[in-house]
Amino acid sequence: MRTKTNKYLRQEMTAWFMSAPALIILLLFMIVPLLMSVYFSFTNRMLIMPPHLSTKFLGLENYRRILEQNDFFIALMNTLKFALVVVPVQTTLALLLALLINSKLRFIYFFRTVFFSPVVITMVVVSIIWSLLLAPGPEGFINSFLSHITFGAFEPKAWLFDKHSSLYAIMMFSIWQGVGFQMIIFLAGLQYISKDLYEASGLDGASKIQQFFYVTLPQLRNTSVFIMITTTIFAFKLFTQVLVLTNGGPQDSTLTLVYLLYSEGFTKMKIGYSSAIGVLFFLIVLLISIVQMKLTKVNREG
Amino acid sequence: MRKNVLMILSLVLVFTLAACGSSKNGETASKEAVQGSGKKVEVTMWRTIGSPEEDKYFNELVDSFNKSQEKLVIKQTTFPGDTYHDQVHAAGLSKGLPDLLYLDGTEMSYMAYQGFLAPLDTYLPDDLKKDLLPSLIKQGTYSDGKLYLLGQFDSGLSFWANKKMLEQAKVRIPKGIDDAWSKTEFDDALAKLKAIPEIKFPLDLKINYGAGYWIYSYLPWVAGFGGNYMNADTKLSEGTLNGPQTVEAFQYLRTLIDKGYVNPTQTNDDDFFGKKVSALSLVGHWMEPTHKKELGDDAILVPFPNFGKGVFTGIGSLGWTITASAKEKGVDQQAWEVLSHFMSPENIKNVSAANGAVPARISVLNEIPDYQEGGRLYLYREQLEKGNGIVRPVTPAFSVFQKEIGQAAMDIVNGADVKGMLDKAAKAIDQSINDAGYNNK
Repeated sequence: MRTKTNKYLRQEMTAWFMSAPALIILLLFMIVPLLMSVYFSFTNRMLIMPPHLSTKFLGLENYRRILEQNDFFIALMNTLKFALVVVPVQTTLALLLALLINSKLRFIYFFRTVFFSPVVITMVVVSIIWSLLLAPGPEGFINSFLSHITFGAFEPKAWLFDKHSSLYAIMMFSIWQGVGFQMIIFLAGLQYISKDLYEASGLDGASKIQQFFYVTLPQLRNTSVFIMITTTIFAFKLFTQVLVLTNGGPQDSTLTLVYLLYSEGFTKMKIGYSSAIGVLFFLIVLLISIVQMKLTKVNREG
Repeated sequence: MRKNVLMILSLVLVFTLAACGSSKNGETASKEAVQGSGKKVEVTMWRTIGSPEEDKYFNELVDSFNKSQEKLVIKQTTFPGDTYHDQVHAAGLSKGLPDLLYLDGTEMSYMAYQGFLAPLDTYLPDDLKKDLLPSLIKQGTYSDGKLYLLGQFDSGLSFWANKKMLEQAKVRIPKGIDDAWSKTEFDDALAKLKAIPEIKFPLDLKINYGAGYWIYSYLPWVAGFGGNYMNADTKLSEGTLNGPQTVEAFQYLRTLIDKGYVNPTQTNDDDFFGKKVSALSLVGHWMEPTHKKELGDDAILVPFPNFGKGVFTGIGSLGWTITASAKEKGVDQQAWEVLSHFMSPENIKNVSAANGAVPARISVLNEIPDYQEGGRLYLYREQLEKGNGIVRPVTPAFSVFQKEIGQAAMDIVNGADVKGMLDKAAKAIDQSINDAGYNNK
């Protein structure tokens, strides 16, 4: 009996010992900072405390201020708008591209590489290159391109300088940059589908379009769920493009939650306030994830 | 096979660790030897890397100083510009600041407020003080009345103008501050310039520099309208940044854009000197070499217009500070010795030759033909010497001012409501100041 408990104990010890490195890292870099930011969100904590200020408990003051000021809602709305456009468009485009390159044409590896290559480029570089392409005025590349292919019907836009178009411009190149990654995952999903299903449905007289809707799409359900969830999370993290190009402007039209959090916390050094934003952001993302998980579960059961 | 790879990897790791360890040990050992033997005292120095020419100048300066010295040795560390001040803040917090620290003039307030700097008044001899441009004392003095920052040079800011275009439009060319354009004359000049087909946007406001530039570039104009960014008494922005004069100044900016004088979506830098679609450029001394190269004698300095309350210019550049930790270590006197060497007429002449900024000492200015009356760059000297320079908010909250004002200006350029934007900026700035308790000292 005793030896048994000893053995069990030893096994448990080994288990803890083996998982210790991962657990310690998780604890240090994920859980402790999370708890710290919850704590800081109730205080007047600053990034570097001024000598005449001590950390004080403020209660819900930071949260009251967030609700009182417009910034948070503007940022939330912009982020939601970005996600609502980017997630469906990027997913659909990725699927179409994956279907295109899932063939046995010659040079197909070349096209796969081309479509995938933007993913390899850092977002900062992508942003800078696109800001040059999106130069305002008729000489701007995108402007003159669009005006050429529409035979002059397209009015040159100021893109990143116009509050009506800035967020859409960012959406445009964000999709361009990100779509290759989803494409590869869809491609993997497509190649996993058994050829037998296509042969069987072909024998039953299904057309290519019918095959797509009744074989390909249902078979890709798990892949699609994964892609939807990761793309949503990526969309909510929108930051680099804004930091490099617009700083949230013009007129807050590209202010996003993560950018707001960064500028309050690191430019204005208000860690308490930006922690409160972070906590709310966390709750919102949590809520969305729960909803998504619930929905996909229903799908799986049905 | 895999075992071998692993072994090689771990060996590499061990060696790297060992190398790191030994080099660190070596460093401290040599330091002790230097200080222990009582021969050479080490003065540590940090600076940010500016232009390649400036970087070369400082490296040579440090080398020649170290070779010429029996008692002192400078140990310099250089940092890239983007994150320099963040690293300085972090070092201040962890008590790791060097003895001699190169800082942007606007950063001095924050550092002095935090108690990281030692006042320079006790070291600065009267003859040097008298020889300095008054703007340097203005920029280097914190609100406690003590001098913390000593620059080897100051910035020069006014219009760079295309002489040929002004002549073509038959616009009077002012010679100096005293005969600067009036507001009506300036409006008239812009209208005449705009009428010339090649001049698409008469005024180049360097909108391509981004939000951070406005706090420096537009302050002289705001002052010309009688406004400012910060109330000098309350050290807050409410009623000043959004006061009637400042609002009027920014309203004027809107008018310039509405009339098509300024390109609100400017992304390129060369409207003035390359494309030549602008006749006036609101930019400082740093563009002098480029303008001279591209436009030759057609590039001239023209003072800002007198918008009613006088002609003003921006001031402030990088400068040297001695840290409080140098004083604690007892090497402050040595640090001053190094700094006073940097401030020698010869070195000031050399640094200005390297970076194009305005030399700090009047005796040096007297030796350079460009800075004599009638000379190409005399306007820079005249403005700074006569005290027309306006200092940016001297407050530990400077970075908040810079961010909020820049954002408000960019939004105003984009067509936002002027008063609304300035109200919003003032509220955000004052809230940050009150939260941090900067004014409770």
